[in-house]
Amino acid sequence: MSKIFSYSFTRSYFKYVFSALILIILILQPFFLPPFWTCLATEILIMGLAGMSVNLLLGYGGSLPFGHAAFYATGAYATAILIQKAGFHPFFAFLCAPFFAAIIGGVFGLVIARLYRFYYAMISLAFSMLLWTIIRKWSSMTGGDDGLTGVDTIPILTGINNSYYFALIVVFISIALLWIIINSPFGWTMRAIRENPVRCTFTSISVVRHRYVAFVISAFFTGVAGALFVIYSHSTFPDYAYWVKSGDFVAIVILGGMFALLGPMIGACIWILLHTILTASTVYWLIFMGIFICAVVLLMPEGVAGLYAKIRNQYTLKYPFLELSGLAKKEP
Amino acid sequence: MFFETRSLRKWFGGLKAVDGVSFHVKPGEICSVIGPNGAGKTTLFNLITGYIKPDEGEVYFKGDNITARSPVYITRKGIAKSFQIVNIFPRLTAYENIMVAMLSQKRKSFKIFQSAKSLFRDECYAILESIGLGEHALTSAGQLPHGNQKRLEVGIAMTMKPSLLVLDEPTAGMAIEEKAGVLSTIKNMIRDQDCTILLIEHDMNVIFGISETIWVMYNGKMITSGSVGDIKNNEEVRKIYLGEKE
Repeated sequence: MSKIFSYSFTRSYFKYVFSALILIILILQPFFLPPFWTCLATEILIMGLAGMSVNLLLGYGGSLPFGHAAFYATGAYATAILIQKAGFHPFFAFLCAPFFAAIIGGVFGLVIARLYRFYYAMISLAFSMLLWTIIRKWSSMTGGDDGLTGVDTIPILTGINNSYYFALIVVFISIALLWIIINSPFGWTMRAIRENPVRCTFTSISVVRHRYVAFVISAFFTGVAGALFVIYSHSTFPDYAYWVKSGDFVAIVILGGMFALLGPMIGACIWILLHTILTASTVYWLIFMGIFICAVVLLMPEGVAGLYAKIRNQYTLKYPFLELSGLAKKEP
Repeated sequence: MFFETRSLRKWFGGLKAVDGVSFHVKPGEICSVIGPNGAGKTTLFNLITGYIKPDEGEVYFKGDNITARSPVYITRKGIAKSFQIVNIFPRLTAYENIMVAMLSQKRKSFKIFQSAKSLFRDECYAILESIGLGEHALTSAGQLPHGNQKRLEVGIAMTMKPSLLVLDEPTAGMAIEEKAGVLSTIKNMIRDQDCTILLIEHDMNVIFGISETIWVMYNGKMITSGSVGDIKNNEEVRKIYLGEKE
């Protein structure tokens, strides 16, 4: 019994040290890099959070959610509308907006949580496009195709650095909550549902109910990401609900690795950096992005985190002391 | 009556897989269902455990009508099933397989603000030891050899603390020594957990070795039942299943 505890403890030690190092770099980064990179880092954090929310259903739940742009847009539009139309204080609007996303997730989830595979993906896509249409048509509330611009932000967050640190704090808290959820009995039950939903029903696990709750939680955190983006960018547009955005979230999960908690964050980093470099280099950047996605799916199906785990495990075969020290990663 | 079925029927198109099966199980006994391939044994077990719904007939467990209820409900009621074809959580470790079942049995599967691996460690480890997988706790279930996967399969069912444990060919594909291990685990379960066992097996040594009551199925019907001696000496059973005596 003590074997289990000590194994995971030594395995975590290395991860905690590495994570602390990354956090220090993130905190000090605005002092060393130009504002352009701080803006980029903010966008990476927000997109990474959205990806991690999607991964709650994809990597840990075994579903393919292809409509999470709906919750991202709900978080964004709820923030903007509460500030501009309802006169809410921006911070209070930011706190309320994810709950709107969770409510929309609760409504969509009543249908989606019962579905599997292809049907799950297509119905979630259909629902998000429904929301996109509503956003575009309801121009009195949402600004229609023009979106909502000039949204007031939280008063102390004027300036790029302050927005960045706010995003860092919110994303850090969200990651901590997601980590708690993933390692909780609920998180492990979701993994079991991913592995074998039939066996779960014979273990008295209500598969539909668990998938529904996971769907609502995922919608909530995607709403946080959407709300954060409005606080950062002071605007929101209908294409935040478009299916391409949902595709982006799935792409960064696959790119970064769906079996690691921070995989989507790595994926967001690579995705946004690649996008920035390619758009600055060539007008045909979409072709190269497409080739890159194909290469990842064919050569690295478990993403960057999965590739890293494979390399580390191969390394431990040659050097057994790594296994003993707890640096070797076991199967997810 | 602890457990009984009344005139269960299930058709698959024109095929009568289960054709008016009425049988019962007494509490605390080891009851086996035998029959040649295609007799309908697995279909009967699937009907009992809620995997498929019967076309006619009823199933009663501890006085409650559990006909056509979901597997989630039936498992919660106290009937746990292990599958003929290994049906585990392949990318989770053996410990995690048992842990997930334990969390469900203790009704903790919706808990979010607790660490799953800190809960019920001793109990999970005790179950792993009792099924002989204590050393393989951290091995991925999918990488275990077939015999160990079958043990894990039975272990997951045992974790649900059932009153009636339904085992569909629990020793299929195992070597003789492994079979003995699984059988002693089953016997210990009855002794420790006051559990009733209902099993399908093709290995006659296993059946005659541990059964108290044997039901014989053929072409979707129960043709006879009795003790080990009754069944061994029954001419009809011999003809259809055990082969003619030379």
